[in-house]
Amino acid sequence: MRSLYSDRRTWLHAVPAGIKLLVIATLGTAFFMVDRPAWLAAGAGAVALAFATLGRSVRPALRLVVSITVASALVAGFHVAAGQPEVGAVSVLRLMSASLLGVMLAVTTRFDELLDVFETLLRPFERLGFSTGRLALGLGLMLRFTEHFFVQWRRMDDAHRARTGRPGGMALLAPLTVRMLLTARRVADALAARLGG
Amino acid sequence: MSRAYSMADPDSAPRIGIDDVTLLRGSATVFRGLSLTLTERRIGLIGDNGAGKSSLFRLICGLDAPASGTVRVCGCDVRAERARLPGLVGLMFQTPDDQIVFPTVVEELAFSLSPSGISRRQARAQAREFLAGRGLADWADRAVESLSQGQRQHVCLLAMLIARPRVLLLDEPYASLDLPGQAALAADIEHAGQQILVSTHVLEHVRHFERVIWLDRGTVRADGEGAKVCAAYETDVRARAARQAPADTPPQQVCDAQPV
Repeated sequence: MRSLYSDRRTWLHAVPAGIKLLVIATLGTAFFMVDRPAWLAAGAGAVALAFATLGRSVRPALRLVVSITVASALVAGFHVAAGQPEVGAVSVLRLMSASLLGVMLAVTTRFDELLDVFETLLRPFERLGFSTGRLALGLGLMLRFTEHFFVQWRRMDDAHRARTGRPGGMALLAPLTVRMLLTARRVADALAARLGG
Repeated sequence: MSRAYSMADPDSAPRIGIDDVTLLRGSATVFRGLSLTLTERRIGLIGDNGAGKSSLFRLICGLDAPASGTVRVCGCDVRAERARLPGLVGLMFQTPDDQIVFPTVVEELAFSLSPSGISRRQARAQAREFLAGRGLADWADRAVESLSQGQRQHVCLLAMLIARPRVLLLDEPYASLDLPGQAALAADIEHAGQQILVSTHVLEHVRHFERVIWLDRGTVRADGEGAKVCAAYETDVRARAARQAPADTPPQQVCDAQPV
């Protein structure tokens, strides 16, 4: 599976995964509870600043950030056309902030750190007889597949540009879905072979 | 010639026993009544695409269930005793991206130790030691994304080796490697202590093996010493290519001749 993780270490690599997840959960909730554009703009500015401090480590994810920006611009344009610029600003600021936080997590966090957090959180379920190791792996893989989706999309978009000279856009959605399903099956096979499941 | 073996003593058993296996995929029959006893240290699998090489590997590591017959590795039924398999057999897939789940090398190797039940911290420490023992200590914290295709393939092999299975199945491991990568992998295979089965289209890498099996549409077309079986397969491929080549096509001109 492809990944956005960067081995160029930053200050955020040293922050425990549990704290990163807590910050994302807290800020994510706050961004969706606050609806004053000025406050949201301040929050988004702080997130963007934190993102910028990661420097060249975020390079693997820059195309993803550009895609999010384009999507945000489309959302904003739609709301402006509908005569609701303030709603558009709120939506875009929330979208950009939450996405940048997610990208920062993916770029600076090892997978087994996330598994440690999930296993700790799921520990109470062990008493009920659940295999929390497998459950944590499943949750972690859900995040890994999100990363893999974007990296795969970028590769298919490159292939589309090379052959047609223009970006793939929505035309990539069906082949990308098929590719992701095939990857899911192969990863499941690899896990079954390695874990004996 | 069939060789009897005792299930009670895995060490004396042939490493892999495939007994009268029929494998169906949809409406197609991949294998019908296939029987093989695989005991040699190095075994090559050759044949055209679709001959059944990958399917045979999937059977051996329990990923595919035969419609009838049994597959045993070191006396262990691969379908009935799946939990024991990670310690017995490791499969390296054709594409490293399908096999590598973790974003860094040390995590990927440590994950192979998880069936043994040790903690993740211990597994990471062992993975670092394992890499250091091979002069690759600086690989530990590298992002897999930053590695070349050959290096990723190497990570897949290391992730198998660290689990110390008794049998390694390598499915077309040379397919996407450059020549230095192929040479490095061939050296790794040469030095590994396990029984190794390699499926490949690059015959040079299995020609010296003590045993090579040529699969053809799910049946064993030839089985024996590597040099002889590879030569037979090459002769067959040349004959088929000659039959398919259009007889009356003139040789293509490389460039137009200019009048002097």
